[in-house]
Amino acid sequence: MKIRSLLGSLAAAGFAAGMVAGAETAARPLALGSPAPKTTEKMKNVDGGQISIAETAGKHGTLVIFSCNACPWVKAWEDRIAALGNEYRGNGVGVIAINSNDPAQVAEDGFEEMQKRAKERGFQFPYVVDATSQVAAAFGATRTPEAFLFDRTGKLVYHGAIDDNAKEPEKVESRYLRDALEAVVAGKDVALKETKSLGCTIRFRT
Amino acid sequence: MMPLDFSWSAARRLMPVGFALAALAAVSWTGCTRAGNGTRADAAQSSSTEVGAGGVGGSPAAPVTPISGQDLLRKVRESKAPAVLVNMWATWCMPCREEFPDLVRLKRAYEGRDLEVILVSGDFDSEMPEVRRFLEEQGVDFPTYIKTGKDMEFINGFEAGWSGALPATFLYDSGGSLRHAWEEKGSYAQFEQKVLELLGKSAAGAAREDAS
Repeated sequence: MKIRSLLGSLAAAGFAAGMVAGAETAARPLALGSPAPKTTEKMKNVDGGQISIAETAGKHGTLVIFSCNACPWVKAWEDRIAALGNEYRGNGVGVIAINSNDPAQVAEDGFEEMQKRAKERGFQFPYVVDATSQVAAAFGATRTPEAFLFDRTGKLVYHGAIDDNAKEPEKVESRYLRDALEAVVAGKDVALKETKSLGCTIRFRT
Repeated sequence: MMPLDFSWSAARRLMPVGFALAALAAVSWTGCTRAGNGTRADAAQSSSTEVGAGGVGGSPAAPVTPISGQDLLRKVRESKAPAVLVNMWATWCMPCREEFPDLVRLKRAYEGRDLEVILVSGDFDSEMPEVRRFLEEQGVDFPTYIKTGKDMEFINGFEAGWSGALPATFLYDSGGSLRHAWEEKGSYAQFEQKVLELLGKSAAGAAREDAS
């Protein structure tokens, strides 16, 4: 039993650490309380400009969402992502959506498609290209959509899913990200700090 | 920085028991499949729980049974096989579709011999016709599964270290301990290598066995 539980722990640690065998870029998921990495990296926005995470930061906090165009899980959540982003951007939270997928692997994740998507969905926040996929790697992001929310002091206070039901918005019971955003705006502690959902593996550039 | 092929043997920190949530009560929610969208495969689908429903073309379709994360883990632990490979896939997941034939081939190659392969769809309930169509295309004539319950309960109930990204493949030993995992597309050779390592065999040895 001892062996069993040890191996179980190792296994869990392996996943949690997000280790990539044989790669020094291996990023474990950013730990709660950590500052955002790669904040000054300029990324190409759908408006044609260049913008960094630091430049999007809000006075109450900053929301970084790893997203894409092609993933059905993103598509299912996209209206809610747009609504949340637009709403909280107006409430003093910086919002930036980042596409780290390699368009060479997923054609739908090209820049023009990103521009189209941002326009269609009415994103009032930057949707940028992580041209090396290294921003996702630094965050230890593994899938889309995956949210990282930082408080006004720049510490990670929420990491995970948008809510608990991608496909059926009317059946959502726990609005994880909205609750976290509310707490951040109010300067309160986020109750549920880590959540999970299925999602599409980020197609990292090789 | 590919592939995301986790190797448990590498040194890494132990994870605090942060996912005690995994102990959530077993989800016994049964899939409530919604009406299909009038596609051909709808004929093969009356509910998501049926066993051996008629398939397209009259041949019996293999059952696709809803399963919770905890029940999946229980199934792994109760398996008598020396090695158990669990693959989480979805019809909408391109890399999953790409690696799927390799998993079916692996199952065939090791049928009744050391390895049990468990395929679990992470599709939404409403995608059941698509799931069936894909399984048929792949020639799957053995029982497979489809996730039930909320994502986080499923993920943490099954394997708390998994981020939820698809595809994901998990290799367990005879004691039900996780020995290797891939949170990325794998190949026949990659899966087989780890299976054989676990079984204490070499690929060449396995080939000789095949030839005999």
